[in-house]
Amino acid sequence: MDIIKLTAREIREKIIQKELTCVEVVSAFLAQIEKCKEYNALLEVFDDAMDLAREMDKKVSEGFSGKLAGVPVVIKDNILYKGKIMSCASKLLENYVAQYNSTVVDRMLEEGAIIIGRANMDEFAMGSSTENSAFGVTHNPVDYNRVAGGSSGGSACAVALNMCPIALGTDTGGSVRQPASYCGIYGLKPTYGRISRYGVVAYGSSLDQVGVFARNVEDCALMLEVLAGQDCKDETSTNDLVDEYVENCADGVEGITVGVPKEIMDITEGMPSRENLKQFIQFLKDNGVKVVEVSIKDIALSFPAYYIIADSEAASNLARFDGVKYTSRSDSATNLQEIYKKSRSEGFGKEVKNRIMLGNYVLSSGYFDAYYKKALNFRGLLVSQFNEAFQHCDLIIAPTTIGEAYFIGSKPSDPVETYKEDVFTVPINMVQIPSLNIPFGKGENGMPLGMQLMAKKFNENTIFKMAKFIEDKRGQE
Amino acid sequence: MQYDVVIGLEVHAELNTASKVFCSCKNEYSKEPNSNCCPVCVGLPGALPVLNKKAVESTIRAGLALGFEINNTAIFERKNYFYPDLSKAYQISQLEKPICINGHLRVFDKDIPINRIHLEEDAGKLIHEGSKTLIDYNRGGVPLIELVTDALKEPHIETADEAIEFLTKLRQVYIYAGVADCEIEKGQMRADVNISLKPKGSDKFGTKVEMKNLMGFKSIHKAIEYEIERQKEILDDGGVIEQETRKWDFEKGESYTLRNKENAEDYRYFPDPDLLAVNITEADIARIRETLPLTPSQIKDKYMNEFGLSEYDADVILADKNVADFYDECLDIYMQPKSVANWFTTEILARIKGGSAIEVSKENLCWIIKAVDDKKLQRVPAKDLLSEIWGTDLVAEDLAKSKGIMSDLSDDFVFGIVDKIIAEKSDVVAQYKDTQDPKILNFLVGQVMKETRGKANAADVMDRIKDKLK
Amino acid sequence: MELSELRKLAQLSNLYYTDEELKGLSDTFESMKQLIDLLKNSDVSGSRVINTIDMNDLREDVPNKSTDVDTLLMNAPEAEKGCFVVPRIVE
Repeated sequence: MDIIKLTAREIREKIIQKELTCVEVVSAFLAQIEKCKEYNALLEVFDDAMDLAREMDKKVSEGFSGKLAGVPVVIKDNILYKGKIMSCASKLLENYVAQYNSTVVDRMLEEGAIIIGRANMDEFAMGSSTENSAFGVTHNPVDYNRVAGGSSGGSACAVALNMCPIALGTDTGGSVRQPASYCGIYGLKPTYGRISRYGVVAYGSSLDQVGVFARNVEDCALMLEVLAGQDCKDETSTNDLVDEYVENCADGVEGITVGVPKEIMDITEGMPSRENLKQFIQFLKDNGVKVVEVSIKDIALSFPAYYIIADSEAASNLARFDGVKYTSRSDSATNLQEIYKKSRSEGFGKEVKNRIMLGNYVLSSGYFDAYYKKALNFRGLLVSQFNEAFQHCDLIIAPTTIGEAYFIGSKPSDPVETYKEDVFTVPINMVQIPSLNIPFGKGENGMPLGMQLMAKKFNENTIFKMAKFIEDKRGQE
Repeated sequence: MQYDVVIGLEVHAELNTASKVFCSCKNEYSKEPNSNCCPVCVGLPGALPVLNKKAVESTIRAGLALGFEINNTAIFERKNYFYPDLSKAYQISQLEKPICINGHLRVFDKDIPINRIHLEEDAGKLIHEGSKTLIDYNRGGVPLIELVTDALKEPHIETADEAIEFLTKLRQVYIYAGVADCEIEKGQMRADVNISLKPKGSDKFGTKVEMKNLMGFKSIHKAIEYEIERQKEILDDGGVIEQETRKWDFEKGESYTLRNKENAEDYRYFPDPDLLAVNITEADIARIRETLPLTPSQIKDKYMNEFGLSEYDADVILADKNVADFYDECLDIYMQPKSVANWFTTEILARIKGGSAIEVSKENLCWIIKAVDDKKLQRVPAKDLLSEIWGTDLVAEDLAKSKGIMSDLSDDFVFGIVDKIIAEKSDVVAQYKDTQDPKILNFLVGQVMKETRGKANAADVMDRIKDKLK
Repeated sequence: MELSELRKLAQLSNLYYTDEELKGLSDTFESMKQLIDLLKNSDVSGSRVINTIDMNDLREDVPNKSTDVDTLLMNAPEAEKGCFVVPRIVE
């Protein structure tokens, strides 16, 4: 039995059935991590992993049967796990030790998960390749010379290379779905408010959502069951019903209509993903799924609006990292002003600074109405256009990326060129709906591509049903 | 030259909720720095604010007490600026849709228009020690309501006296509404004052100068007078008033520039994405209105119109809510408002001057007042009696009797007659003991009253007989 | 983009840039500005979605245990007497 290839559900099952011990499981994954070190997926492997595995074996022998009993998990390095370093892949937080547990960590631990390490990312989740990490780039699991995507690139790479069965990321504008696509795995961004953000370092607070990486649909569903639900520590988390996502996966797709926005089709003009989208539509039709054309007229403008909102919120969210309370303080600072300026300037990377500057620009007096207010109003418009489209279908599809993963260091210095990678993912965060990247197709160089399945708010179930259906069909091919 | 003075006030008051406004830490003073703090108070990464329902209710209460309209949607914004007492580098406040809009407060003979009351969080405290500044976030996140007068609307606050009267009245309203304790020396109520002068009769406003974070009514009064004089002198000399923020130096009795227009802060307000807008329904507002106690001015009306108190007496009693509450409690026992008020405005107030507590029970006090009213006790010995029992647990009635200061029939005399009647009417007494028939009791009381020619207190006699026949 | 405007933004952001860095930033900023101007110059209109919570669903006013001071201060670059410390501030 190749432990590292098992799904999370299989691992848990075998541990409960005493076919495997947590110690065996964790050692197998730690060995794989060691083997894949050069990919730079993880910033740290927690040294208490084996101890926790032993404890978990004892608990299981006493009858514990949590949904993640003995399942090793990797978390993105912007999620707080008490007593462990959490750096956001920034020099500024290089030595920051989490002072409390995030709600997602608490929920996983309650179900018996063993958190074995923290994953590399773009600094403060700003980027789409992990090239903005202060601690080096994560390599693509399929082609070492290419990026794994970002910002949750480390988590995606770790799952793709079997360093863990599941991993957590965060998705503000595509940071789970895009690396999942580049690495050829599943990546779920749930509905905004579905999972508590408490203890997750904020980037764009109205867009951020914790997401899940897995190598199969049911593991995504399982993780959502564990993580979803209202949290009294996050006012924006909602009390909408948490479904039996795993069980519902098998319900089939009868009656589910898929919509393709014609504007998405237009945007793909000249992009490598265009052909893949067409093939995906054909695949759905061949398998009896009803596909209709819908319209989201102004979807192309999501992209500038997204950067206005994300960067405004980021500028404010990152102001607390000031060298006074917990972030490292510049050695040469002698007064308060210098503590602020030098600590931040020396600690933040270039891209983070760019976004803070842009965020403050659009919020500053004289520009607020033209940029920020307009973006907020546009967001309302986009929501109504999505709602209109969902009148005609249950799921909307779009490519996840423009094309396959690019080569490390190949992007020009103008960051806006890289921003364009996010064109298909940012609208989803703007309207706060769920979206899952499913691996589908290959690029011209054989790199993985992915498609997004999006649903109305809190309709993750519909996504899982379709994803499972596709997974099963393709397994038979 | 003659000038019209326009004074605007921004008044901050800390709400007396049990927990802080955006987290569940205790809202109470603590000597130990950072002991009432959590990840939210310190602004740790990943921490999120969660709004306290009571803080919203209290803000609405304050608003209703001042005749405000309540917005049906209240939005919280971030006010961004760096300062070490502000852990997140932004203060959660309200700009676009505050909880309360358009109220007013009567000051002397003017209805001063108030623009808004909004809810926000207090900042922490800085302690300067030698070459260091220490930061304590205990106060960070304490709920604060900020009231802003509407200086664009008539009538204006025009003098330091009016400003102080405004603050005094406002403080009373908050305390009576039960939303804030407003202890000035603890910094629970603070004010920013802005002042502008314009030529008399002109309808064009002059340049505003703001004075930040004034504490204590005396220093506010002084600061306002100082600033009016300062601006007059500049204008008289043909000078121009600079738009600026000044800080009052309490010790020196003068102010200095804190920052001018050029380096005015750009706060980059925007809606806080971590907080939802609050739906405040008409039913919510009605529910709060129902539980709203009378405002000081409503109580004053009652005192004057129903109780017949003089305005002076009413004001004196209302000035301290503890006194007014005690007054009302006494009336529950002895409903003679004027007579009781008379004792309050003289004897009680004299004894609690300088903040001492009221150290007499309402029962004892009312017994004394009633005894005087019933002419059983002369006024002078009654006052002495009050002094004697003040701060002790002596019973006024017992002490008065043992001192023999009662001016009418002695109890002994009356009780002697009670004993005599009980002995004489042994058959009736036996019947009463069997049946407990109240008619028989009344008959016995009647006999005693007859014997004393109606001078005894019938209630006392009845008690005594009951006691004897137990 | 005027350098003076970027300097003002740097001040608001509490970031330090040398003149050299600022010139480099100027191009990047121009490019970012072009991106967001796509929205600014478009004629779309809509109205903001406001997510609300009913007053009765807000947190009850019940105090809870606070975090111990040592934990709060454990990452502090400078701490003393239970406080975070900065060099003395002069107003």
